[in-house]
Amino acid sequence: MKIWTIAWKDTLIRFRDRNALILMLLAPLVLSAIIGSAFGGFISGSDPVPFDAIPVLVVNQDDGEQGAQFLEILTSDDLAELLTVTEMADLASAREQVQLGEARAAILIPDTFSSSVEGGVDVETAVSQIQFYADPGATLTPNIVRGVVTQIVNGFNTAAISVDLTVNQLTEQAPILGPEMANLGTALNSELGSTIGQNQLSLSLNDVSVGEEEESLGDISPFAFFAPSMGILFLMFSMVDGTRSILDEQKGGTLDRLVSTPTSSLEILLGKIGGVFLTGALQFVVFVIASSLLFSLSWGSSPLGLALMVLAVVLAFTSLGAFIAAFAKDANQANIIGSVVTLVFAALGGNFVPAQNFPPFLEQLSKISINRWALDGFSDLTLLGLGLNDVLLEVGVLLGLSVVLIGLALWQFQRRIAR
Amino acid sequence: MSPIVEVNELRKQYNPPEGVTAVQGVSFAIKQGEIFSLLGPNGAGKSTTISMLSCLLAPTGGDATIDGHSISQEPKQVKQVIGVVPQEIALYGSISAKENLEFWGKMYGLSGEKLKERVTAVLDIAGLTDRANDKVDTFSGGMKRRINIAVGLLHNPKVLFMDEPTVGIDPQSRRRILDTVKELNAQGLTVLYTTHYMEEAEELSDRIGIIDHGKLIAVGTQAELTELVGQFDTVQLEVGETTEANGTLVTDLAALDGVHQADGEGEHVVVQAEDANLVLPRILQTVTEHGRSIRRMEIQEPNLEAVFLHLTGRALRD
Repeated sequence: MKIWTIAWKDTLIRFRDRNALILMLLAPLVLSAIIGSAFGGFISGSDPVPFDAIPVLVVNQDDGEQGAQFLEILTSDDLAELLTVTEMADLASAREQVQLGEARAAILIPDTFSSSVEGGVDVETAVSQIQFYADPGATLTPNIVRGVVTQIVNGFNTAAISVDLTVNQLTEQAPILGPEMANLGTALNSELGSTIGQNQLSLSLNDVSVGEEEESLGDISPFAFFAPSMGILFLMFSMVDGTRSILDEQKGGTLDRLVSTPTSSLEILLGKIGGVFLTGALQFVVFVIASSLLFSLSWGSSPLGLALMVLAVVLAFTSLGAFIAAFAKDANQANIIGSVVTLVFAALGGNFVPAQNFPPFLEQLSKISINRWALDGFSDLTLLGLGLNDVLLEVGVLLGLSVVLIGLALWQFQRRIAR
Repeated sequence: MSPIVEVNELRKQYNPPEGVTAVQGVSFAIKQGEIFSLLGPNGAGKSTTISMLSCLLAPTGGDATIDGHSISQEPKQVKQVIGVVPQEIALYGSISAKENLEFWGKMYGLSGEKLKERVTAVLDIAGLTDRANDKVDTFSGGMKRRINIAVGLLHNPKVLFMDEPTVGIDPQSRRRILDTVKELNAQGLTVLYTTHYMEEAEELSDRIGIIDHGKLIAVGTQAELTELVGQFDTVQLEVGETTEANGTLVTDLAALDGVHQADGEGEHVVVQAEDANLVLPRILQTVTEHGRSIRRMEIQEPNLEAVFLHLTGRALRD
């Protein structure tokens, strides 16, 4: 109860602060509008962006049937409005063309692709085998191509599992069914590899079929990237600023007064951190509603996925702010460190340029920032239209980080209070 | 009457073992219904003592009991029976006085009708009922001080700790606060009051503890304490500047017939004499001989200032 009382008091104070309101609500919306419009955007969802098919190069090193099918799907009529696929023999040339801006992405189907898929590897492994090179200058299109590739590989994988199961069951039953049926199993092994696989692939591709593609293309606006990006950036600013209030209370004497009441230091700290979390959650919910109304931005089709992502992101930034405040010497130092960390994480995490376009080492390094996981999660929902299951990894990582950072912050704050 | 506060060899050293020892084994007791003042200059250890008794600072030695509860062993029980009025204005400026009081009331475990009733009561004590819904930031320094005190009274504490509650306010607000303390005490509230203003200690206190450099150097009623210096008058002088070292003037004044003690630094000189009227001409002559002018002069009969000077060799204001 006391935790809630402290948290609500802090939320009330925050939302009565005009400057804080500008930072929390107005600034991200204004910046989203400016940057979104600058990148050829539109304001109304009924006025879709003119969208040309994305030029993509494919290098198929796989001699097997799966590689050929993969290529066939990429070049199918269903995807013709989305992708213009050109097959190339040489990876180096393909990458060079991407670097020159002749194409937005290059896809390499490795020579082991067929054997892997037929061997029934999991989706993640299969996706990791498909190599992907993006145009560093492109912001949105690499994400779209990556989404399409993931969908196709998903289909392959499901098909391969089905084949495996059927053949294995027939082989196990062979002694009972007789030698003819055992031979049938072997025959199916080669037949199902293509037939069932093909059926599964066409099912998978329905996800980006023409009917839904039009709707999906209508949502592909710069706002789908920049609105979450700006929302996250300013959420981080206000969370880091909010947790500093613990140090402000220490300086102003109210923290000592709180400690002099029959309230435990843990209740006080959880109340303070809870207040920042509550403020952040309200800030982001208002931002989601406002950006939907102002920019007709779709935040995806999974309300649960969105809710989980918002809670995980707000908690992660709250924890980071609490961690900085706990270990800073005073409010001034916390302010400086907080601002530096916010800007570095924003740049590294892809708030200004998508991290997928970074050089490989930087792209890997970006995963140490909360922003990267936050943006990946929101991009999955807003750009790729994915669902709850597709953001569970991001949610898990963010919650894990939160637990560690909050744990350390509470430990340090309790040491500071017990003098 | 039995003591409600018993302090036994309380000690606080910051960053031991090398750090400063702010309180060096202080012992005293406060009876129920008493106003006990800790009088001493800035940095004497008053706030550190009150912070330990409020369970904000952990003692590095000794202990104290409040209403029978040890501050070291039972801090939660202690916090339920004490009210704390800190030296600084520990309020939230951007919310109203009423919202502040409701918040702090909840922190003391009040809720519902009881909370409403107490908020109304302490707003009345503070004389700020008509400003209840105004933001604290819009209040004058004196009004903020009154709300600061009101917070400490919300849960009807048995003992109220007031740490220099009149610092930096106008005389009118100060008068009101002193009257409030006396009224609360008349209703049975025990008060531990710290101050470096001798007049406040003299006006309010049943008993006074004089503290300096972390040590309690005397405890008693005002009459008991002034007896320590006998019947000496105190002459306080503010003298003009000179190139001569001040020490010579003070030495010459101390050597005059009828002068008990002389002390001071810079422009301030304090002289204790058996009869100020008799020795005054010789004091003035000595000051003039040292080429100093007299800007201000004040003669006081035996008081706490003189007691402090007698016990420490320094003026309280130093």
